[in-house]
Amino acid sequence: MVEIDASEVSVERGPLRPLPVNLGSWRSRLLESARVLETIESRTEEGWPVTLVRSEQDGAHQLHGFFELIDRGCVVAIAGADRAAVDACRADLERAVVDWTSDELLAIVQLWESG
Amino acid sequence: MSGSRFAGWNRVKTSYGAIISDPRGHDHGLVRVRRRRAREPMAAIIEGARRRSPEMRSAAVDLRRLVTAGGDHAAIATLRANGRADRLLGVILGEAAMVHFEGVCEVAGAAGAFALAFADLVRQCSSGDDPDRRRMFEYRPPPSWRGLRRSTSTLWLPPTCPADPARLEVFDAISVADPGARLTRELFAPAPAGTAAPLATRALTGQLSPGPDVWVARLSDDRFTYEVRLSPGGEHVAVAEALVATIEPIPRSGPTDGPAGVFEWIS
Repeated sequence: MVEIDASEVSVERGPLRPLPVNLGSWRSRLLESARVLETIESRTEEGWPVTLVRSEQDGAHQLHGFFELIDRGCVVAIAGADRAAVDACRADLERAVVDWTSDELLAIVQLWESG
Repeated sequence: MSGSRFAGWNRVKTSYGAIISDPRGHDHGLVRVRRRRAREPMAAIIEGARRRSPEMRSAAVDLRRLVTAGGDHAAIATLRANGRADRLLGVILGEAAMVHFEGVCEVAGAAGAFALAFADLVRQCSSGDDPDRRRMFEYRPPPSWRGLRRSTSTLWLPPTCPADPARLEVFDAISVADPGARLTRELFAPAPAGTAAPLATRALTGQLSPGPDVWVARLSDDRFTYEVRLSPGGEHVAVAEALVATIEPIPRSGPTDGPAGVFEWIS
Protein backbone atom coordinates (compact mmCIF):
# COMPACT_ATOMS: atom_id res chain seq x y z
CA MET A 1 0.00 0.00 0.00
CA VAL A 2 1.59 3.26 -1.11
CA GLU A 3 0.20 6.66 -0.15
CA ILE A 4 1.30 9.36 -2.60
CA ASP A 5 0.13 12.94 -3.06
CA ALA A 6 -0.68 12.71 -6.78
CA SER A 7 -1.45 16.38 -7.41
CA GLU A 8 1.81 16.98 -9.30
CA VAL A 9 2.65 13.48 -10.48
CA SER A 10 0.90 10.48 -12.00
CA VAL A 11 1.02 7.20 -10.13
CA GLU A 12 0.60 3.73 -11.62
CA ARG A 13 0.41 0.81 -9.23
CA GLY A 14 1.06 -2.61 -10.73
CA PRO A 15 -0.42 -5.86 -9.41
CA LEU A 16 1.41 -8.17 -7.05
CA ARG A 17 2.83 -10.94 -9.21
CA PRO A 18 5.27 -13.83 -8.89
CA LEU A 19 8.75 -12.35 -8.72
CA PRO A 20 10.74 -12.93 -11.91
CA VAL A 21 13.88 -15.01 -11.57
CA ASN A 22 15.95 -12.35 -13.34
CA LEU A 23 15.23 -9.11 -11.52
CA GLY A 24 17.57 -7.12 -13.77
CA SER A 25 15.75 -8.05 -16.94
CA TRP A 26 12.40 -7.38 -15.21
CA ARG A 27 13.49 -3.79 -14.61
CA SER A 28 15.16 -3.39 -18.01
CA ARG A 29 12.06 -4.59 -19.83
CA LEU A 30 9.87 -2.00 -18.14
CA LEU A 31 12.38 0.78 -18.72
CA GLU A 32 13.68 -0.19 -22.16
CA SER A 33 12.61 3.04 -23.80
CA ALA A 34 13.68 5.27 -20.91
CA ARG A 35 17.07 6.80 -20.11
CA VAL A 36 18.05 5.47 -16.71
CA LEU A 37 19.73 8.09 -14.52
CA GLU A 38 20.14 6.31 -11.21
CA THR A 39 19.43 2.98 -9.56
CA ILE A 40 19.18 2.82 -5.76
CA GLU A 41 18.90 -0.39 -3.77
CA SER A 42 16.83 0.45 -0.73
CA ARG A 43 14.38 -0.99 1.78
CA THR A 44 10.95 0.07 2.89
CA GLU A 45 10.54 1.19 6.48
CA GLU A 46 9.12 -2.29 7.16
CA GLY A 47 12.32 -3.76 5.73
CA TRP A 48 11.20 -5.17 2.37
CA PRO A 49 13.68 -4.74 -0.51
CA VAL A 50 12.81 -2.06 -3.04
CA THR A 51 14.87 -0.97 -6.02
CA LEU A 52 14.28 2.67 -6.96
CA VAL A 53 15.08 3.69 -10.52
CA ARG A 54 15.14 7.33 -11.65
CA SER A 55 14.77 7.83 -15.40
CA GLU A 56 13.63 10.17 -18.14
CA GLN A 57 11.32 9.39 -21.02
CA ASP A 58 9.88 11.75 -23.63
CA GLY A 59 10.74 14.75 -21.48
CA ALA A 60 9.01 13.36 -18.39
CA HIS A 61 10.78 12.45 -15.17
CA GLN A 62 10.09 9.00 -13.78
CA LEU A 63 10.67 7.13 -10.55
CA HIS A 64 9.97 3.41 -10.46
CA GLY A 65 9.83 1.38 -7.27
CA PHE A 66 10.37 -2.37 -7.78
CA PHE A 67 9.16 -4.05 -4.59
CA GLU A 68 10.11 -7.58 -3.54
CA LEU A 69 7.98 -9.57 -1.11
CA ILE A 70 9.48 -13.04 -0.67
CA ASP A 71 8.56 -14.55 -4.04
CA ARG A 72 6.20 -11.79 -5.21
CA GLY A 73 6.94 -8.42 -6.72
CA CYS A 74 5.17 -5.31 -7.85
CA VAL A 75 6.05 -2.05 -9.51
CA VAL A 76 4.89 1.45 -8.65
CA ALA A 77 5.65 4.00 -11.39
CA ILE A 78 5.62 7.74 -10.75
CA ALA A 79 5.94 10.28 -13.54
CA GLY A 80 5.70 14.02 -13.88
CA ALA A 81 7.11 17.13 -15.51
CA ASP A 82 8.57 18.47 -12.27
CA ARG A 83 11.69 16.55 -11.37
CA ALA A 84 11.66 17.68 -7.74
CA ALA A 85 8.06 16.53 -7.29
CA VAL A 86 8.87 13.13 -8.74
CA ASP A 87 12.02 12.71 -6.67
CA ALA A 88 10.14 13.69 -3.54
CA CYS A 89 8.02 10.56 -3.95
CA ARG A 90 10.98 8.40 -3.01
CA ALA A 91 10.09 8.81 0.66
CA ASP A 92 6.52 7.71 -0.08
CA LEU A 93 7.78 4.58 -1.81
CA GLU A 94 10.01 3.77 1.14
CA ARG A 95 7.07 4.21 3.51
CA ALA A 96 5.00 1.65 1.55
CA VAL A 97 3.47 -1.07 3.71
CA VAL A 98 2.34 -4.50 2.61
CA ASP A 99 -1.42 -4.98 2.40
CA TRP A 100 -1.84 -8.54 3.61
CA THR A 101 -5.58 -8.74 2.94
CA SER A 102 -6.20 -11.41 0.35
CA ASP A 103 -9.14 -12.92 -1.48
CA GLU A 104 -7.12 -16.09 -1.87
CA LEU A 105 -7.83 -19.02 0.42
CA LEU A 106 -4.75 -19.54 2.60
CA ALA A 107 -6.06 -22.15 5.04
CA ILE A 108 -9.10 -24.41 5.04
CA VAL A 109 -10.40 -22.89 8.29
CA GLN A 110 -11.21 -19.77 6.27
CA LEU A 111 -14.03 -21.77 4.67
CA TRP A 112 -16.02 -21.57 7.89
CA GLU A 113 -15.12 -18.09 9.04
CA SER A 114 -17.62 -15.40 8.07
CA GLY A 115 -15.22 -12.49 8.50
CA MET B 1 -29.51 -38.64 -7.62
CA SER B 2 -32.02 -41.30 -6.83
CA GLY B 3 -33.20 -41.27 -3.24
CA SER B 4 -32.01 -37.74 -2.57
CA ARG B 5 -34.13 -34.73 -1.88
CA PHE B 6 -33.14 -33.42 -5.32
CA ALA B 7 -34.52 -36.36 -7.26
CA GLY B 8 -36.79 -35.04 -9.99
CA TRP B 9 -35.49 -31.49 -9.91
CA ASN B 10 -34.91 -29.67 -13.21
CA ARG B 11 -31.28 -29.38 -14.28
CA VAL B 12 -30.16 -26.93 -16.94
CA LYS B 13 -26.63 -26.20 -18.13
CA THR B 14 -25.81 -22.54 -18.57
CA SER B 15 -22.86 -20.59 -19.92
CA TYR B 16 -21.43 -20.23 -16.42
CA GLY B 17 -22.46 -23.53 -14.85
CA ALA B 18 -25.92 -24.85 -14.12
CA ILE B 19 -29.31 -24.07 -12.66
CA ILE B 20 -31.18 -26.62 -10.57
CA SER B 21 -34.79 -25.84 -9.80
CA ASP B 22 -37.79 -27.29 -8.02
CA PRO B 23 -40.24 -28.80 -10.54
CA ARG B 24 -43.09 -26.83 -8.87
CA GLY B 25 -41.42 -23.58 -9.96
CA HIS B 26 -38.36 -21.44 -9.35
CA ASP B 27 -40.00 -19.73 -6.38
CA HIS B 28 -40.07 -23.08 -4.54
CA GLY B 29 -36.33 -23.44 -4.91
CA LEU B 30 -33.59 -22.36 -7.27
CA VAL B 31 -29.89 -23.18 -7.07
CA ARG B 32 -27.21 -21.69 -9.28
CA VAL B 33 -24.08 -23.78 -9.52
CA ARG B 34 -20.79 -22.61 -10.94
CA ARG B 35 -17.17 -23.65 -10.88
CA ARG B 36 -14.69 -20.88 -10.19
CA ARG B 37 -10.92 -21.14 -10.46
CA ALA B 38 -10.37 -18.55 -7.75
CA ARG B 39 -10.47 -20.15 -4.30
CA GLU B 40 -11.76 -17.55 -1.91
CA PRO B 41 -12.33 -17.53 1.85
CA MET B 42 -16.00 -17.74 2.83
CA ALA B 43 -15.84 -14.16 4.14
CA ALA B 44 -15.07 -12.93 0.60
CA ILE B 45 -17.83 -15.11 -0.88
CA ILE B 46 -20.36 -13.70 1.58
CA GLU B 47 -19.17 -10.19 0.83
CA GLY B 48 -19.68 -10.85 -2.90
CA ALA B 49 -23.25 -12.07 -2.28
CA ARG B 50 -23.96 -8.96 -0.23
CA ARG B 51 -22.73 -6.75 -3.05
CA ARG B 52 -24.97 -8.56 -5.55
CA SER B 53 -28.03 -8.47 -3.28
CA PRO B 54 -28.32 -5.16 -1.41
CA GLU B 55 -31.17 -6.54 0.74
CA MET B 56 -28.61 -8.97 2.23
CA ARG B 57 -26.15 -6.25 3.28
CA SER B 58 -27.02 -6.44 6.95
CA ALA B 59 -28.16 -10.06 6.95
CA ALA B 60 -27.12 -12.28 9.83
CA VAL B 61 -24.89 -15.18 8.81
CA ASP B 62 -25.13 -18.73 10.01
CA LEU B 63 -22.17 -20.85 8.92
CA ARG B 64 -21.81 -24.59 9.01
CA ARG B 65 -19.04 -26.81 7.81
CA LEU B 66 -19.43 -30.19 6.21
CA VAL B 67 -17.59 -32.85 4.31
CA THR B 68 -18.98 -34.06 1.03
CA ALA B 69 -19.56 -37.70 0.23
CA GLY B 70 -16.48 -37.42 -2.00
CA GLY B 71 -14.33 -36.38 0.97
CA ASP B 72 -14.03 -32.69 0.05
CA HIS B 73 -14.24 -29.89 2.60
CA ALA B 74 -17.36 -27.80 2.14
CA ALA B 75 -19.34 -25.11 3.88
CA ILE B 76 -22.80 -23.60 3.79
CA ALA B 77 -23.61 -20.04 4.81
CA THR B 78 -27.20 -18.98 5.42
CA LEU B 79 -27.84 -15.25 5.09
CA ARG B 80 -30.93 -14.13 6.98
CA ALA B 81 -32.42 -10.67 6.47
CA ASN B 82 -35.66 -9.65 8.16
CA GLY B 83 -38.67 -10.23 5.93
CA ARG B 84 -36.58 -11.69 3.11
CA ALA B 85 -36.08 -15.21 1.90
CA ASP B 86 -32.88 -16.77 3.20
CA ARG B 87 -30.01 -16.81 0.76
CA LEU B 88 -27.98 -20.04 0.89
CA LEU B 89 -24.34 -20.09 -0.18
CA GLY B 90 -22.46 -23.35 -0.50
CA VAL B 91 -18.91 -24.10 -1.52
CA ILE B 92 -16.96 -27.27 -2.16
CA LEU B 93 -13.20 -26.91 -2.05
CA GLY B 94 -11.16 -28.54 -4.79
CA GLU B 95 -7.58 -27.83 -5.73
CA ALA B 96 -8.14 -26.72 -9.31
CA ALA B 97 -11.31 -24.84 -8.51
CA MET B 98 -14.13 -24.23 -6.08
CA VAL B 99 -17.72 -25.23 -6.76
CA HIS B 100 -20.17 -22.52 -5.70
CA PHE B 101 -23.88 -23.01 -4.97
CA GLU B 102 -26.29 -20.14 -4.43
CA GLY B 103 -29.85 -21.01 -3.50
CA VAL B 104 -33.04 -19.18 -2.71
CA CYS B 105 -36.60 -20.26 -1.93
CA GLU B 106 -39.31 -17.60 -2.05
CA VAL B 107 -42.13 -19.78 -0.65
CA ALA B 108 -42.05 -19.36 3.11
CA GLY B 109 -43.60 -22.72 3.91
CA ALA B 110 -41.08 -24.53 1.72
CA ALA B 111 -37.91 -22.86 3.02
CA GLY B 112 -37.09 -25.50 5.61
CA ALA B 113 -37.32 -28.38 3.16
CA PHE B 114 -35.34 -26.38 0.63
CA ALA B 115 -32.53 -25.76 3.13
CA LEU B 116 -32.33 -29.50 3.78
CA ALA B 117 -32.30 -30.22 0.06
CA PHE B 118 -29.62 -27.61 -0.52
CA ALA B 119 -27.38 -29.17 2.12
CA ASP B 120 -28.07 -32.56 0.60
CA LEU B 121 -26.99 -31.32 -2.82
CA VAL B 122 -23.73 -29.85 -1.53
CA ARG B 123 -22.97 -32.96 0.51
CA GLN B 124 -23.68 -35.34 -2.35
CA CYS B 125 -21.59 -33.46 -4.91
CA SER B 126 -17.82 -33.32 -5.12
CA SER B 127 -15.18 -30.96 -6.43
CA GLY B 128 -14.61 -33.36 -9.31
CA ASP B 129 -10.90 -33.45 -8.46
CA ASP B 130 -8.93 -36.67 -8.00
CA PRO B 131 -9.26 -37.83 -4.34
CA ASP B 132 -5.52 -38.66 -4.40
CA ARG B 133 -4.51 -35.17 -5.49
CA ARG B 134 -1.99 -33.10 -3.58
CA ARG B 135 -4.29 -31.03 -1.41
CA MET B 136 -4.67 -28.53 1.40
CA PHE B 137 -5.51 -29.95 4.79
CA GLU B 138 -7.09 -28.53 7.90
CA TYR B 139 -5.03 -26.89 10.64
CA ARG B 140 -5.21 -23.74 12.76
CA PRO B 141 -2.84 -21.05 11.36
CA PRO B 142 -0.64 -19.21 13.86
CA PRO B 143 -2.52 -16.16 15.15
CA SER B 144 -1.45 -12.86 13.53
CA TRP B 145 1.08 -14.50 11.22
CA ARG B 146 0.72 -13.42 7.58
CA GLY B 147 0.02 -15.98 4.87
CA LEU B 148 1.17 -16.27 1.29
CA ARG B 149 -0.24 -19.03 -0.86
CA ARG B 150 2.28 -20.82 -3.09
CA SER B 151 1.53 -23.43 -5.74
CA THR B 152 1.61 -26.41 -3.34
CA SER B 153 2.05 -24.84 0.07
CA THR B 154 1.12 -21.91 2.29
CA LEU B 155 3.93 -19.82 3.72
CA TRP B 156 3.34 -18.14 7.10
CA LEU B 157 5.44 -15.15 8.14
CA PRO B 158 5.71 -13.75 11.67
CA PRO B 159 4.03 -10.43 12.46
CA THR B 160 7.41 -8.69 12.59
CA CYS B 161 8.59 -9.89 9.19
CA PRO B 162 10.87 -9.16 7.42
CA ALA B 163 12.91 -8.12 10.48
CA ASP B 164 12.13 -11.59 11.81
CA PRO B 165 13.30 -13.95 9.03
CA ALA B 166 11.27 -16.96 10.20
CA ARG B 167 9.29 -18.87 7.59
CA LEU B 168 6.71 -21.48 8.53
CA GLU B 169 5.63 -23.46 5.50
CA VAL B 170 2.71 -25.88 5.45
CA PHE B 171 2.91 -28.15 2.42
CA ASP B 172 -0.18 -29.59 0.82
CA ALA B 173 -0.71 -33.23 1.79
CA ILE B 174 0.72 -35.83 -0.55
CA SER B 175 -1.13 -39.07 -1.17
CA VAL B 176 0.68 -42.33 -0.60
CA ALA B 177 -0.59 -43.15 -4.08
CA ASP B 178 1.57 -40.33 -5.47
CA PRO B 179 5.19 -41.46 -4.91
CA GLY B 180 6.40 -39.05 -7.59
CA ALA B 181 5.33 -36.05 -5.54
CA ARG B 182 7.01 -37.41 -2.41
CA LEU B 183 10.23 -38.08 -4.28
CA THR B 184 10.22 -34.55 -5.66
CA ARG B 185 9.86 -33.10 -2.17
CA GLU B 186 12.63 -35.32 -0.81
CA LEU B 187 14.98 -34.28 -3.60
CA PHE B 188 14.41 -30.57 -3.21
CA ALA B 189 13.84 -30.31 0.53
CA PRO B 190 15.26 -33.32 2.38
CA ALA B 191 14.70 -33.41 6.12
CA PRO B 192 17.79 -32.83 8.32
CA ALA B 193 19.69 -36.11 8.64
CA GLY B 194 20.21 -38.05 11.83
CA THR B 195 17.99 -36.11 14.21
CA ALA B 196 14.55 -37.59 13.70
CA ALA B 197 12.39 -38.40 16.70
CA PRO B 198 8.94 -39.95 16.88
CA LEU B 199 6.04 -37.53 16.78
CA ALA B 200 2.38 -38.17 17.47
CA THR B 201 -0.68 -35.95 17.52
CA ARG B 202 -4.24 -36.82 18.38
CA ALA B 203 -4.87 -38.04 14.85
CA LEU B 204 -1.53 -38.74 13.19
CA THR B 205 1.93 -40.15 13.76
CA GLY B 206 5.26 -39.38 12.21
CA GLN B 207 8.69 -37.92 12.78
CA LEU B 208 10.15 -34.68 14.01
CA SER B 209 13.52 -33.46 12.69
CA PRO B 210 14.41 -30.47 14.87
CA GLY B 211 17.48 -29.13 13.05
CA PRO B 212 18.80 -25.64 13.86
CA ASP B 213 18.43 -24.41 10.29
CA VAL B 214 15.19 -26.17 9.53
CA TRP B 215 12.66 -27.84 11.80
CA VAL B 216 10.54 -30.43 10.03
CA ALA B 217 7.44 -32.24 11.25
CA ARG B 218 6.23 -34.99 8.97
CA LEU B 219 3.05 -36.83 9.87
CA SER B 220 1.07 -39.44 8.05
CA ASP B 221 -1.83 -41.83 8.11
CA ASP B 222 -2.60 -44.67 5.76
CA ARG B 223 -3.49 -42.25 2.94
CA PHE B 224 -1.56 -38.97 3.13
CA THR B 225 1.66 -37.37 4.32
CA TYR B 226 1.49 -33.95 6.00
CA GLU B 227 4.58 -31.78 6.31
CA VAL B 228 5.37 -28.54 8.13
CA ARG B 229 8.75 -26.78 7.97
CA LEU B 230 10.06 -23.94 10.08
CA SER B 231 13.25 -22.12 9.15
CA PRO B 232 15.31 -21.18 10.99
CA GLY B 233 14.42 -23.80 13.53
CA GLY B 234 14.96 -21.90 16.78
CA GLU B 235 12.76 -19.14 18.06
CA HIS B 236 9.30 -20.12 16.84
CA VAL B 237 9.32 -23.86 17.49
CA ALA B 238 6.44 -23.49 19.96
CA VAL B 239 4.35 -21.81 17.24
CA ALA B 240 5.13 -24.62 14.81
CA GLU B 241 4.35 -27.27 17.40
CA ALA B 242 1.01 -25.62 18.16
CA LEU B 243 0.12 -25.60 14.47
CA VAL B 244 1.12 -29.24 14.01
CA ALA B 245 -1.05 -30.28 16.96
CA THR B 246 -4.11 -28.92 15.14
CA ILE B 247 -3.63 -30.82 11.88
CA GLU B 248 -6.69 -32.82 10.91
CA PRO B 249 -6.42 -35.71 8.45
CA ILE B 250 -7.94 -35.34 5.00
CA PRO B 251 -11.58 -36.49 5.25
CA ARG B 252 -12.47 -39.88 3.86
CA SER B 253 -15.04 -40.25 1.15
CA GLY B 254 -18.28 -41.96 2.05
CA PRO B 255 -21.08 -43.79 0.30
CA THR B 256 -23.06 -41.67 -2.12
CA ASP B 257 -26.03 -42.01 -4.36
CA GLY B 258 -25.35 -38.53 -5.63
CA PRO B 259 -23.90 -37.02 -8.75
CA ALA B 260 -20.23 -36.86 -7.61
CA GLY B 261 -19.00 -34.32 -10.14
CA VAL B 262 -21.98 -32.01 -10.23
CA PHE B 263 -21.37 -30.80 -13.76
CA GLU B 264 -21.12 -34.33 -15.10
CA TRP B 265 -24.43 -35.07 -13.39
CA ILE B 266 -26.09 -32.14 -15.09
CA SER B 267 -24.86 -32.86 -18.60
